Amino acid sequence: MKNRKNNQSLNAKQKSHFSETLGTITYFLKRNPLAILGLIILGIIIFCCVFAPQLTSFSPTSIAIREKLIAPNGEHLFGTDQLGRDIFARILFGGRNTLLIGLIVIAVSFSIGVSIGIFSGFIGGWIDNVLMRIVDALLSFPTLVLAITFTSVLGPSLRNAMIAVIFTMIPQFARISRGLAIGIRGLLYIEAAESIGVNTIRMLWKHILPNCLGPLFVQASLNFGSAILQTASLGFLGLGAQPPTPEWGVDVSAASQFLRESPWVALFPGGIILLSVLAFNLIGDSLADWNNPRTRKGN
Amino acid sequence: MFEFTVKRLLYSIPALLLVLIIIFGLVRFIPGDPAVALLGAGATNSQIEFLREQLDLNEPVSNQFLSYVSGLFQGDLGDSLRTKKPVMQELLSRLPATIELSIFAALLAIIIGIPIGIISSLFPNSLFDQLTRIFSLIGVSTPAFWLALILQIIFSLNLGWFPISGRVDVYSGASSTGGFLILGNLFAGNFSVAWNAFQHVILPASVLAAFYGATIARFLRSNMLEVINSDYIRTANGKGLHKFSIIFRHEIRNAILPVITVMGLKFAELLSGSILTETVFSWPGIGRFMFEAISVRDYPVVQGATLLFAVVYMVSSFLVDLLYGTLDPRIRVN
Repeated sequence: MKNRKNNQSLNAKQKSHFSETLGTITYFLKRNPLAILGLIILGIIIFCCVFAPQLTSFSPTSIAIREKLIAPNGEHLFGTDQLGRDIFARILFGGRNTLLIGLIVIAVSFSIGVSIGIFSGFIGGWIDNVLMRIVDALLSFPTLVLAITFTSVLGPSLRNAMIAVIFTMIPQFARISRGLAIGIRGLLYIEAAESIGVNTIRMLWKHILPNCLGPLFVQASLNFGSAILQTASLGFLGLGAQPPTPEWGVDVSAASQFLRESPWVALFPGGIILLSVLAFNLIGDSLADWNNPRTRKGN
Repeated sequence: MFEFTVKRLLYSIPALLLVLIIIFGLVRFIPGDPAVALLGAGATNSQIEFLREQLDLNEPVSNQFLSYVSGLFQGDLGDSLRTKKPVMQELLSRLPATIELSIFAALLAIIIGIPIGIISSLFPNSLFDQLTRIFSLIGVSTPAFWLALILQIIFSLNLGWFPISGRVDVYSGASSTGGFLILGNLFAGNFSVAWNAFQHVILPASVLAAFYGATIARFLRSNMLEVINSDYIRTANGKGLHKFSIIFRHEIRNAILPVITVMGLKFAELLSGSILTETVFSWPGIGRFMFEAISVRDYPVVQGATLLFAVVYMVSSFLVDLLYGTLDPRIRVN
């Protein structure tokens, strides 16, 4: 009996917590129309990519030379490319690759980078010093140069391009989460946890990490955009996805020879890269503004 | 100030060493024998042996690294596998083209980015502010290679305002690898060549400036908002200072400092953005050279160019720190 009562109050607590979160989200969205815009763009893109087979009857890879370079019309919404493939279909199926790439790149680099960062910041001492010098060194390369150099050594392929972009993002996440962990390390509740003998792993997982997540998610949403941008850039340079895989960057690159007569071949795949990166930046930017109390007052 | 400079220099030594190790290690990351990977499966034993000798692969790794570093100190980056010339010489001959392009892009970005950032922060959430926020977000979200193609379609192919690619027209009599074309010819009195080169630089510089300028505008806006909400601005308002005096002497002066840092750090990104832009515009600089080297697996060149980009980044962040110390007395004291 008593147990059930406890359960009920727990449920009520969870519910109120849930509605509180929902309230914060609606409040945030009300004050940030640009974030709504970002969510809408992203929602449409994800929807179209997920339901790609339902939305188009064309195959993204089947070649029909006789129908090459047709201007956009009712049948081919975005026209066809130099091999007669429907560009709309290629964008939809290419988007599946691109979004998946972004997701994997962010998930992997986030996990590795944040683990290194909070560990380094919490432990301190010479381990922190050594780790941060390595991070400094990796951050001394402009991201695109680092990614290009890695792929040129590993060999051009989509998988290697992803590994390269992951490498450029790990030090960024490590640097930020280390700073956050150092800030939290000095707080009283960490001292309390230490005094009752909480071990390091539990400390990092249960006490430090949850309190770093806010700013880290903001960074992740901004990095999602640049992950897409960089993978597409590598694809454009021929270091990423290889034809005939539909991928937005590769498609722009293939189009560069037909600019004069058929500009749409480059226009649409590149435009969709812009839109999806923009969507992530709109969301991330609004969140960053929201998280910063000093700029929030100005809004 | 002297002590600060020396400390900062010493501080960058471990990072530089690690950068060297990473770049040195690159060729050794190739699975199997790098020489075989470079030459392909059809190579004869004597060819492989020759390349191994040339790449210094027969020595122990520690010796290889030492001779690599001592070579660096003598300005030796190895020879290009493609052109057979010293990498250093190849890079130096292309550096002016990239610097010229980057400086024009940076100027363009500053001229556009700073006023926009300031105005939009003075009227937060106004229509102008929202529009500039969207446009500057578009600026940082646009793939450089795509923007380059779009500008070529609009301004070269359709309107015919600017040349589609290259650095200078052949008939102008100037060589496209001839140092600083615009300033050099301007001072030498060859106005027609300088003008021709200037027309060529506009489109690629705009592509680079879109990202750089948008970054400046965004960063300046958020800094201005932070400063505007601070106590000393309230004090300045309270004691009845003129509005312009507050904006120019109190707000901008303080908000621009962090922007200088970002500009310095992003300058290296600007240079690396030149890989994409130079490739699209056939601009004969470091970026395109590096791209060509990658497609033929010319590793000494890739290593050299990567090192160059990293060093530019480290030097610019060093200069930023020094400049910051001079501009902001609070940092000098600490």
